[in-house]
Amino acid sequence: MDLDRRSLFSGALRHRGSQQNESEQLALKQKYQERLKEVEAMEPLSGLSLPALLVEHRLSRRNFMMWASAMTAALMLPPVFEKQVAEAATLLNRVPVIWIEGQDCAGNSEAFIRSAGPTVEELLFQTISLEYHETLMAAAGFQSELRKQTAAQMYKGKYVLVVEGAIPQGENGAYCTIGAAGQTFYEEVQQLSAGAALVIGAGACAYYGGIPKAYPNPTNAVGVSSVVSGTPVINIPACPMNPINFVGTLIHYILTGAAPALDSTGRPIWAFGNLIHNNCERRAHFDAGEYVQQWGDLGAQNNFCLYKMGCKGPFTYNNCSIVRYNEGTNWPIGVGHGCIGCSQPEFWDTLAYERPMVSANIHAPGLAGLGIESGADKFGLGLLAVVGVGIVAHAIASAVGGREKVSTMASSSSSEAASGGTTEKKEGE
Amino acid sequence: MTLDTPTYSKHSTKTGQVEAYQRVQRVTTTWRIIHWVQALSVVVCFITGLFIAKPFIQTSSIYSALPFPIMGWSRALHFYGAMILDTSMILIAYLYLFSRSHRDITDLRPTPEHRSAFKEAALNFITFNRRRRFDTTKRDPLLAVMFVLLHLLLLLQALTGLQLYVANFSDNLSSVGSWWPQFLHFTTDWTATVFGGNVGVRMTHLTASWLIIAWAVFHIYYEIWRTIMWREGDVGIMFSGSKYVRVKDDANGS
Repeated sequence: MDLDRRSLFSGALRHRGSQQNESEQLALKQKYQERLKEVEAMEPLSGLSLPALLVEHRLSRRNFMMWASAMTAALMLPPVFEKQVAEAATLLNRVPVIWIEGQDCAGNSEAFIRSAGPTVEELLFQTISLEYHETLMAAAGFQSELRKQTAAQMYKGKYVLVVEGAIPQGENGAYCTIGAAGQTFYEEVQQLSAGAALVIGAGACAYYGGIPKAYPNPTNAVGVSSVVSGTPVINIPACPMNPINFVGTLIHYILTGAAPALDSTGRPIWAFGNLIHNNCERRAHFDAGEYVQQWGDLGAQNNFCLYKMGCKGPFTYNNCSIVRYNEGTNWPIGVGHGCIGCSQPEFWDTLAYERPMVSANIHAPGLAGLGIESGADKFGLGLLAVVGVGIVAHAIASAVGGREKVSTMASSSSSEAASGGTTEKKEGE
Repeated sequence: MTLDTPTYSKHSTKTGQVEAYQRVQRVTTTWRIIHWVQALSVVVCFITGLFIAKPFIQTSSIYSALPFPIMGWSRALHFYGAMILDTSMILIAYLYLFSRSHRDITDLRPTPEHRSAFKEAALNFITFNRRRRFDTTKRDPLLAVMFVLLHLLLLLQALTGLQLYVANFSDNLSSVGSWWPQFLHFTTDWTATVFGGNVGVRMTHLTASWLIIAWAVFHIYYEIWRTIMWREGDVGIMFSGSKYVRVKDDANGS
């Protein structure tokens, strides 16, 4: 009989509400499809198309589909949306982007362009209509200034403003001036954000001020959210920000025309909703009670948990333990250094040191915070020692004291025992 | 065992006859402590094991993240329960063989009396208490055989469980020294060969756990059944250490 016996129980085991989820997915897919049609009808701005670039750089269709499925997963969408994510990626050339940079090291731009070979992210970075980017553009001086103003007027209310770096407010913003006219960065952000559809704060410095804002904060630096008002701000922190999170946010924008769900500090929840600790590859060692105690020790050689070396994974929200950096090659904890919490507010003053946090109330599971395996082993060994001592003591007592003759077994003749004839006393064993 | 002076119950039968009961000491305090420690460990291991086998609560979801590590604590409690079971089994294995009073291993000797009592205990159950021809003041051989079966199952759990446990250890490192994982590999690696790798060992571990629970369900049912059918308070053996026997007992039941 061709009967899958598991089907007998599938009704009970099936995730409840899956039917509902499917219809929700279908409705969402429909909505995305309509939005994609709208975007497709818009005129491409950059003159570059992703399919052509992929062919030019010999990135196969397979490469691209791998990237698309990874991006779909990163956006926390079910696999059925893969095709739409891929389509949205090809439509990124409809988005005009103005990228300005203040107090920082340009690390977030570098994160895009410093790859071994062209990655899909890098090609996407080319296809977006990058109207202005100081580090990358050929124009300089008054010429670049003109370009910025023209773009801001031309795409007023439509462009995405990317702000990289902190904004100094001290001395009326004189610590950071941009362009030949010597405009302060503070003014520049205020002017450009007023005409933007969306502001993206790229990196830790744009998020909460980052290292420029670290104590004693001589330039009185702040993050983008403190300066911009009236325009939605999406923060994509980390030092540097992960290109995947930036591109993912743009793709989400293409798919929905709106900002993704954000947490209380303006970070997309799809990327910054989980603690690094919860998805860390070394998490099992934390739970087991296996820690690196000193650089280069046996624990370090065996990739044990870095919590006792000051890893801030338990306090940091980011997806780098899943998507990693540099095309998924590796990430800080993967190479043996603890997390410094670079995607958290004011991380430099509160998290970036190689010691465990004194006030942290974090313990591995298990009795006395010993960890699961470590605690169980010690507990078991202790118990075994107690039982062993007891057995030895008992054996000595037996050897000295001998045995008692008692019978506790039942026999088939019940009348004799039941009549109450036997009154042997049974001592403790 | 200790038989107290007869105490008479106020209960009278349908015929108006007053029944006399006598208290019989069946097990020692040590015995009862070990029984309840093991019973509790089995319950803890079973409940935590259910969650470990099928973790139905998602603890790291972004919208409903639980700060309490359910899986971590389930595993920790599972291992504590297992450690208690394993060490207490070493203890009772020793007492089984070398107790100063009664060595239970002798209960398994297939003497004619034992065989007969085994048969009578089984017949008593099968005939729903219509045939009562064995001494209930002492442990019957049916019970002895049942407990040997249980402990063989627990031994299987210990071996397969420790095999699954040692699979976690990286490079023979443990907090109590490298001898421990090496010892576990030495003693339990054969289970992987016999049951077909880690998956087979796991399936054996899960199957045996259900057999143990089935055993426990039957055990509780049987003790309650006997308490009700014999009306001698057999359940009390594991609480007070004693039960009661009727002084004037009709061997064939009435």
